[in-house]
Order: sequence, then structure tokens, then C-alpha cells
Amino acid sequence: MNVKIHINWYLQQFTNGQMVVETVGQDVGECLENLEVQFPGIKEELCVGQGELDGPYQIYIKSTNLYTTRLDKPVKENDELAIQFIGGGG
Amino acid sequence: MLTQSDLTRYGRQILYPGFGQEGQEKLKCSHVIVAGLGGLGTPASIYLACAGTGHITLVDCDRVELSNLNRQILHWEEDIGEKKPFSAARKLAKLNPSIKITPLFERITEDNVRDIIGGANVVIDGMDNFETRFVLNSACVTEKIPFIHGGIYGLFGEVTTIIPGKTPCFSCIFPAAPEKKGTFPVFGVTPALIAILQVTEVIKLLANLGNLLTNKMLYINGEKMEFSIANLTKRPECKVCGASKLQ
Repeated sequence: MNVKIHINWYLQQFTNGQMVVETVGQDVGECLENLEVQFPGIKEELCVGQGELDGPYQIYIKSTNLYTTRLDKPVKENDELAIQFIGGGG
Repeated sequence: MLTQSDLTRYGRQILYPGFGQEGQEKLKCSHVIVAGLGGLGTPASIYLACAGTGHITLVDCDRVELSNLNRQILHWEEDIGEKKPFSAARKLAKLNPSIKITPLFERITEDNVRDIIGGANVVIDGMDNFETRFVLNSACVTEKIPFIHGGIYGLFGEVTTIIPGKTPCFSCIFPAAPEKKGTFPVFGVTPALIAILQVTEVIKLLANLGNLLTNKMLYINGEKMEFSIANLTKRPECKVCGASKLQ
């Protein structure tokens, strides 16, 4: 599946400043794997442990929250994903 | 019951359609916890006090440091070394002597959190770490107290209003604390902006006014001055509010 991923401000350091990138995959996790091929280092920033998303990141599909435990969520052709960064400060 | 002084002091907000004296009385009868008196908690408590929130409890376990002063606007240079809740309470008492302010110099833990927030109408998240937010969230879910989350980083921030039983809780949205930590950058304007949105939610919630930021996360990108909203849904397997917990 071809998808677009909206990249948050913090991760744009890995995408040469691109705010929206295109990649492919059958599910969110596969899309992230392919994103890493295109933009090395991005997955290391995004993930911890066995590949789970790190706490400050959230992934949305068509603006609906996909929780971090569900990287196996399938994507559809032309889906738009967004990776958000949460500010934990106060 | 509003006094003549209340009617004068809050007259301009009492004029607002749908708020009126009834809304002001609700604020006057309300108890709001401000958890954390840093960049979020200090501006939040100023606007809560100005609005006439009847009782504000200020909770923090830190003392004022020089590095706080770019954003924690109730703490001044003369306060360095003082306990933050008392530094804040002293100024708020001058700002609005007609309200009750309770300063608590305590670290919020699983052992004391229910004593701190019990009976309150709303809790404002002014924390700077996920761990204490998890503790507060869990207690708010148990006590069924709305929790207004705010968080910041640099020129970026987010806000959502959590109503236990009706919206995703903080642990639905954030199943785990970030593993990558460190001192975060921040301009004072960012927590100020987020805090004012949090207080806007508190006022609407208490006065039953307008629409709340429930089931949604408002993201603010101050660098590009973009505001965006994403929809949130409950996470059935959530350890705090999931199906097995609230039945």
C-alpha cells in the first residue's frame, strides 16, 4: 500500500526537513521499517525495546489515534499517517 | 451567593451569554487542584484566581530556582529558594483576596494522591514528568475527577480534557512513559499558552458552557503557528480505565 506520512517537527531532522513523505507497507510497522530505509535513524528515534513506539510519539491514521501497541494495524492504499511528538514538559 | 464585590469584579465575564451569575456562582463554589507550579501551573493558577475559582489547591515539591524564572511567572528573583506553593500562594492572595488558596509542599505519590485531590472538581496537569501524571490520572479515574492535560516542549504543546468514564484517560493515550529523557527546552510563552487553554477548559467545564476538548488532542506548533486536532478513542485494554476497570 502507498501511504503518506506527515512528519512532526522533531523528526524532520531525519527527513531533510520534509514535512510529508511517501512510503509503502501493509501495516504501520512495515511502513516504519520502510521509512527507516529511506531515512536512516528515524526508527531508532521513534522506537525502543522490541520496536515499540517510544512514549512521546503517537501515530494517527486519518487523524484517528492508533495506540502504540498496535503497530500491526493494517493500512489502506493512499492512507495518510501522522506521527506526533508529545511534549512531556510543564 | 455572589457579593456586590463579586458582581463588580467578575462583571465582564458575568456578561457572557450562557455564563452569567449562575456560572460565576459555580466557579465560586468550585475547588481546583493545580498539580505542579512550574511553567503550566503558575499561569494557570493566575487565571483561575482572576476568574474567581472559589478554592485553589497548589501542589509542588520543589523550591524556586533561577532557571525557573523564564516561564514560571508567579516566582520572582526574590523567591529563589522558597517553596513554590507558598511563593505562588502569596501573590495569588494579593491578586484575589476573596478566594481560598491552599498551598501544599508535597510530592504527589500513589500514597497521598487521593488525599490531595479528593473532593476537588477538576485537576489541572501542570506536571513536568509522565510518572506523576500517571499517578494523578489513575486517582482522577478512581475519584471520577476531570483531568486537564497539558504538555510542552520548546515552542510545541498539547492539550486534552479527560473526563473519567467518558473519554480516553491519560494512560489510554500514553501507555508508557518515554524512555528517552533529559532537560527539555522551553520558551515561557509555550506553557503560558497551553495553561490558558487548560483554564479555558476548566471554566467551561465548571460552568457547563460550550464544547470541551474531549476525545481530541489539540496540538500547537508555535514555530509555524499551526493548531491541529486529532481524534482520540478509548483503549479497551487500558490498565487504568479499560473495560475491566470501570465496571
